Amino acid sequence: MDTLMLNGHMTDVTGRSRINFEAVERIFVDRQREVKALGPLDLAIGDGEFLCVVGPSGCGKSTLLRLVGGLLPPSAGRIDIVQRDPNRHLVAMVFQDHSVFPWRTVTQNVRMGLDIATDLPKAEKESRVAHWLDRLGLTDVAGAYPATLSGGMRQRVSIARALAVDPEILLMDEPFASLDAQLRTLLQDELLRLWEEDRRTVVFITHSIDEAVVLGDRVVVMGARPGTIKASFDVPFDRPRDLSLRGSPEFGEVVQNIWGLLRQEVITELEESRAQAGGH
Amino acid sequence: MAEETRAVDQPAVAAAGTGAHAASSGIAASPPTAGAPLGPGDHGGSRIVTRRPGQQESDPRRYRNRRRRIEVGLGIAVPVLLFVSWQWASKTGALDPHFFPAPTDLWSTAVTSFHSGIMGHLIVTSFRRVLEGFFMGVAAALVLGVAIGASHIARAALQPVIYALWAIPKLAILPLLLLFFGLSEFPIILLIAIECFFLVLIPTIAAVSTVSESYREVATSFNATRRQMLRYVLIPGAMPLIVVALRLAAGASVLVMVAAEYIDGKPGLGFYIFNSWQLAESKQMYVGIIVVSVLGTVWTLVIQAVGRYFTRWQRET
Repeated sequence: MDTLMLNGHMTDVTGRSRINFEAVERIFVDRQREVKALGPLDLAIGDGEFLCVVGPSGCGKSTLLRLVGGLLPPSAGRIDIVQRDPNRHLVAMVFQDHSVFPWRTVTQNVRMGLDIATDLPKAEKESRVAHWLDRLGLTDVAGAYPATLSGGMRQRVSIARALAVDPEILLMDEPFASLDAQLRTLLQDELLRLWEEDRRTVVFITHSIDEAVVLGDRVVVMGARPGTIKASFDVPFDRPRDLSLRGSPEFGEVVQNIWGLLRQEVITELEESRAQAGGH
Repeated sequence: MAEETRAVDQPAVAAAGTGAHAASSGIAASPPTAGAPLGPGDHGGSRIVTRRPGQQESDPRRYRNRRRRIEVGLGIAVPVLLFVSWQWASKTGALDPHFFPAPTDLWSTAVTSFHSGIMGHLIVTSFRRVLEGFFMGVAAALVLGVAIGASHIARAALQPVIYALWAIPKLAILPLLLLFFGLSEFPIILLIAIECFFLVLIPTIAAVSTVSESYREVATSFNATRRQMLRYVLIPGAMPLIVVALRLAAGASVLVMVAAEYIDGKPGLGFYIFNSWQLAESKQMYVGIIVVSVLGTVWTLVIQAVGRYFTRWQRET
């Protein structure tokens, strides 16, 4: 099957880019004024790359992701995304909490992308759903409504829903932000293991530097309003990675390096918002 | 801004050991200990606060069943109690039996009217009107409400018109309908339909237009078409409010039926009550009122049960 071939290991991180931002800007218009949330921004994301984006809150990280996902059009510039197989779903998104539909059971939630975006035969849908339910440990709660599940289980549903359509590119918008620290660590490990199997291109937004370094091939730091790329760090750790990485001195060093840069951005953002609040 | 872009693509790692970080990952786990009681040497105002599971926790199923029995019992006992006190007040003369005949006296009147077949006939005619009007109005309201709620433009164009029409007292247009359609069934049915239409239309528009953006985005990210957006996100998301509106409309449909029959004068439960008043037959009047109220309750409960099925994903407390 074509899909299988495309799923093969394509780790030419340094090679041609899969997603390319060129002078991209995004402006939001409200009642009185125009606010530039993003850009101008240039960014190349490699094929099979796991890219993590960190930045102060309000820096436009989510906006960047929504631009790739096609949920928002850019106000200027262009984004080029390589689609390998026109019959395959290009991007799927894992959102923050509150994106799992309370009126659909776990199974129905996971199947939703397949129902909307594909016309696969019923049996094929069912087997795919069963596969992803199993991979994310959801089989036992397949018939339950999300209201009865914990936050961690709900995010698993959200991930399974995105992966069930087998997208070429996976976009994740702070998927673990609302989870407690232990659960987050657990899900990061699960995500790493899942990703190792196909190494598809991932853009992962987070406010946690630790998380970015554990998961990413590269960490991009965004600056405060309007969001631009301030720096980009290659994460030097071998794959597959495991839990012990977090305790190593090298890990701490990388995190410190990134934080040294990000801290200034966070402070700038804080001062700006203070000045704004004081100005009124 | 340009000077900020340093360290691009530099894996800035030196092997120098920052031991502090490694140490911080070691977790000193202390098992959760139950609060130990205070020693005997503690005098004065000290006391021991112990927390232990209550009845609800020790046998949750029995507790739940008991609670359910109490709730069902209350639902029956309260109306029974009301009837009993009514009976007592009427028989002792605390209430004028002329205006408030005792329930036992009403019972014989009711039995007669049911036996003669009149009451059954009235119920069927009146409730056929209620059902026809309700379904006509609700169907139109749901289709239009979803369409208007899903579209900014439609909302901007139609909302002022809808509010203007809603402000017209519906009974005030009954004479108009009678003028158009004559003294037939249709004006009554249409009036019920109009009332239900607005009661369902306005909440449906509001509910569809306020479904959370995060749910819409999920569907958009799967390239949902407009129809798919409605089917997968907007309609189910709006359902809780729609269900409440349907319950209101069910109640209102009975109300409008009674009022319209007073005016139109077509035989039915409403006319029966009105006619009994004209004949000063207070017992018949009460029987009519009680029959309407019981049927109205059953009708609302049916709609509520249907609605509950469509919102079964919601947790009720």
